[in-house]
Amino acid sequence: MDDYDVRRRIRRAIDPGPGFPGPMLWERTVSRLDEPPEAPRRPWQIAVLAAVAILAAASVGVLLVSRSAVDSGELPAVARAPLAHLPPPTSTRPGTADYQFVSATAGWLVEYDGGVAHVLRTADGGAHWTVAGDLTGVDAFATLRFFDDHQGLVIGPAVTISTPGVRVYSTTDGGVHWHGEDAGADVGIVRSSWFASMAEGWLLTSATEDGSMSVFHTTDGGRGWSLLSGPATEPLLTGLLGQKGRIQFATSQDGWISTTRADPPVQVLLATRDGGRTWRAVDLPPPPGLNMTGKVLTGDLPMLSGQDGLLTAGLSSPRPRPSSLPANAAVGMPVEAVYLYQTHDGGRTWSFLRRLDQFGIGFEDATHWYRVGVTGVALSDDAGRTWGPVRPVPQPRGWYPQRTIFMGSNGWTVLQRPLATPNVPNAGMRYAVLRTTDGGAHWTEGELPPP
Amino acid sequence: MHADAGLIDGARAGDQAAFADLLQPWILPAASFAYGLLQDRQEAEDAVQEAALKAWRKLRSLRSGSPFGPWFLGIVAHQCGSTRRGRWYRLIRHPAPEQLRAAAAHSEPAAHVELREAILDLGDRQRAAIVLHYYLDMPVDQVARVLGLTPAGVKSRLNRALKTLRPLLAAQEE
Repeated sequence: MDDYDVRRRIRRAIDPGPGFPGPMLWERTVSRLDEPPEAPRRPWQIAVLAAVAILAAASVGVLLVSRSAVDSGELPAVARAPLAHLPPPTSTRPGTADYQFVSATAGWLVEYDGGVAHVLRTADGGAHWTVAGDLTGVDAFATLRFFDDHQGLVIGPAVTISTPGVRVYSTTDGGVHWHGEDAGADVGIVRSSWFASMAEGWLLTSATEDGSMSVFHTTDGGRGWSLLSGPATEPLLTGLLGQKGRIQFATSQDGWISTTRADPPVQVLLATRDGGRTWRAVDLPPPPGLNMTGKVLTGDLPMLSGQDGLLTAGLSSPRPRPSSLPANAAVGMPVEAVYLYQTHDGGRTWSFLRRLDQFGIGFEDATHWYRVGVTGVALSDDAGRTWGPVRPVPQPRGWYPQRTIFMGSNGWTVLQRPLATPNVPNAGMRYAVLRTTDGGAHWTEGELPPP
Repeated sequence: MHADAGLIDGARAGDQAAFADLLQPWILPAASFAYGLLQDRQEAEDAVQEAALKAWRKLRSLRSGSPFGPWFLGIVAHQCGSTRRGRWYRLIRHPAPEQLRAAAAHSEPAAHVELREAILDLGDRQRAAIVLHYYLDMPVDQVARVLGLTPAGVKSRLNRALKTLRPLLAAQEE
């Protein structure tokens, strides 16, 4: 029996099987960092720590005062604001949810729970939600794309996330009626979709797990799809991690794919200027003064509003995947730093703006930006030159904010909670929706319909 | 300087987000490692979370220039050892072998169950070495770093463990 056999047999004997670890283990772990240590500290330790804290607070205060006096638009530092442990939400539904707001008042939400996608809508900024459709056969990787308070689409892999085919549901009357279109298995396994209008859309698909991807196009709302590019015509669409990829278009011609190369494992941003027929790697200018020897800049999908937009880019040193990590480990590349780029020509060219700290950045339009981090959110209404205070997003114990977005001072976030019992570690999820109308100073629960 | 250095500096300064970024690529390997040691999903997730909290609070004890991952997995190993030694675990969580066999008989070959039990019965360091090397595919020198042993010490423990396990390995169905 050789080493390979030993490895294979041990793996077979002790592998936990699918569903382990449970959802969001990393998020659940990070959310506990504020917990006090179990063992109480001795009085002298408390005194020393208190003295240090006072000195540190005084130092930070001095720094903040001096920084604000000369603020030149630096992004706010990572907040030390404590997570707000609140009573758990009362209006919740089973499943997971994704959502989109088309205005400060009109929003749509798609909830997935056991093979049925329930569509919810709100007309009062998320204060109250009503059911606007029960769509069968759309899997949890489905996406929603709404254009106003009446017209929109729900696009997803047919049946399951690993089943070839796509199903597109559309409504033009605010969810009273839904029309479904199915495409055959020829499109492959859907990884991402994007619709520029009710009729025109693109799919990013992979045939199997072989690491190649294809782009399909529809002009009739998903009734028929035509192959635009794939491994046979575009070398850049090969050698990828097949299950990872997102596609987005700004116009009928300008679009992007963000995906991850298999070897070395670095994220890549591809762009097209001919509607998806040909692709090229986006070439970002290096940050000024940075030695780029042995390093690459890799980009995420751009955030655009008209001709203006932002792009976050990671600086990486490509190297082979560490052998200590399992093949399915969720790590693509070691990111050494993250930078912010901006465009004023719809994403055709990008210029370096500044280095980012650990906060994520959101882009509503040319002037309204927001920052969302582990510990809070901050808003800017002057293109990031100045920032409001960092405010924590409420996080009742056991609930985790998933996606926070802002439109002006209106903001929303979905809280999710993994359900588990000692005998059933993955018993599904529940979710709730929070909203703010004052830039995150106060958050209230949206009222969801009973399950 | 390795890629973690900046994040480690940030996390040492109290930056939770930096620590979160340090932790992210290691959370799945840590969970797999913990499961390999404990063979209990809930216990493994709890052990990883407790280990992460300890790592966060004791980050200053990570030697300058040392990578985060092996150090963190070492804490996971200690945490799993504490869990296994805990009275609560022994009395309530660890079913009798007969029950284990009966429960597993419907879903997997008995040889798998027996091999798993034998791995659980190994000493802490032998079991950790087996899981890291044969389950997480970690090279011997990295296993040594995680367990605070020399590479020769790891090889010795692997050999002794394999000697114990070999009859059960050979008995596994193809």
